[in-house]
Amino acid sequence: MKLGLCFILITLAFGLGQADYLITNPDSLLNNGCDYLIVSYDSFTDAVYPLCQLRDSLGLEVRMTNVSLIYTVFDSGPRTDRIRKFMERVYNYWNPRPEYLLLVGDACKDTTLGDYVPVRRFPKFSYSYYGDLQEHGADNWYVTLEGNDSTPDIIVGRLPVNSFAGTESLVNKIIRYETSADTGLWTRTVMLLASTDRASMADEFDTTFFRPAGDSVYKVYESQGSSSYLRQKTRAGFNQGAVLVAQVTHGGQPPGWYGSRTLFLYSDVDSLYNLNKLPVVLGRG
Amino acid sequence: MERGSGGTIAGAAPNPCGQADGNQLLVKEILKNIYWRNERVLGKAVFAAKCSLMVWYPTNDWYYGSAYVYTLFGDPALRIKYPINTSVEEGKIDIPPESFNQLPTIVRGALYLSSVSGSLSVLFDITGQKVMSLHPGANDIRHLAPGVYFINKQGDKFFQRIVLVD
Repeated sequence: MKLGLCFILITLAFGLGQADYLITNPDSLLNNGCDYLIVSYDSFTDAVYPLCQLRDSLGLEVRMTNVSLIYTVFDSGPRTDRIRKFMERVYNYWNPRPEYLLLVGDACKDTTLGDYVPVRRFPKFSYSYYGDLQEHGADNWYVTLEGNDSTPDIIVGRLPVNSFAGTESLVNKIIRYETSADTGLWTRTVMLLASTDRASMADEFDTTFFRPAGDSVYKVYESQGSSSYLRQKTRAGFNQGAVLVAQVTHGGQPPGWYGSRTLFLYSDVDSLYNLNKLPVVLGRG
Repeated sequence: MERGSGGTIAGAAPNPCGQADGNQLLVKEILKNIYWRNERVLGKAVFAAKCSLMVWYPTNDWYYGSAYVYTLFGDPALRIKYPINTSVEEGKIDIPPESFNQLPTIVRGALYLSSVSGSLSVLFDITGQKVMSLHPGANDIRHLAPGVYFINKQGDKFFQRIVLVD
């Protein structure tokens, strides 16, 4: 374990140069190959190199491109269509095809406000959406590249960052998270949040997965108290550390997690200091 | 996520919303992948869960729609820090009975997978024990004993029957 960590750290320090990851000419955009592909908003690219080196050190072949190069090479149609055409090219001509696609940059319906790597919007499905919304965005569309189904063919994720500093901060968190040897109690702690109408669904997760595995389960259920109490308890849960947060509540506005009461607000993020105990949040929504 | 002193490392959620039953099933599948199948790569756990719902409910958008809008905010290759569960019998699954009735593909020496999905495929023996992970291209299986095996793409219900011969 320690040797593995040393290897990663040495590779991070002395790994490939930045130029080896970044695609800078049209031909390399059309004909290439990798395991891990990054499509980044141009101004954020420099902050992503440490992540390239981390993934490289773990055995993945990494390539990165700025979105502007994609727009230059695929020069017709909306920006989303151009990225999609690039992904079709990647899927059909790159060897090897990437297993992962990472989009670096937030998307926003208002193109004048933080729409760094856009997302294609589609008409809503048949069930009701919160706030009577009539459409949704889906990164999934960029990676449904084979057959007539909706099944993704590449594993896609997005860093929803809005600045160079934000990108640098999140990339540093990822590197810290993966290279830390910390196996403290928090890695076996799950925070479970539930609105009253969904408490039985949260209980199902608890009795099926968390308790049989012997995890410590920190529950924040709406029935436990007032909104201010619930928000305080949720903040405390984050700060004491959890490896997973299962959010079995409603979303809403202002951004937060709700039942009839409020369990967490976006503004509560300012009170989180769980520096090296960062959870993955699974939103049940 | 951008907050340097804390917050989260990644999140996954319907964007903007899924249907209640579809969401429940989706998150259950993600948790199954983490807890029961020891999947530690976040993107793979989410990917396989999404594929499962889309394959199981291809015409019911309460389920495949929830999977379609489910978005991973974070690095898809992130390795979750949850410890490997050693009580899980690594890779042991139940092969669906109908899989035994298929006409088998005869294989000798190497097993070729053409699609990128091959990187998420696993070879099982006739008892449902995981034998090896597969990758796109040629997979050397000369070390395996002749017999019946099954290929399964993670998250897919379909098991392809093969017969390995000398």
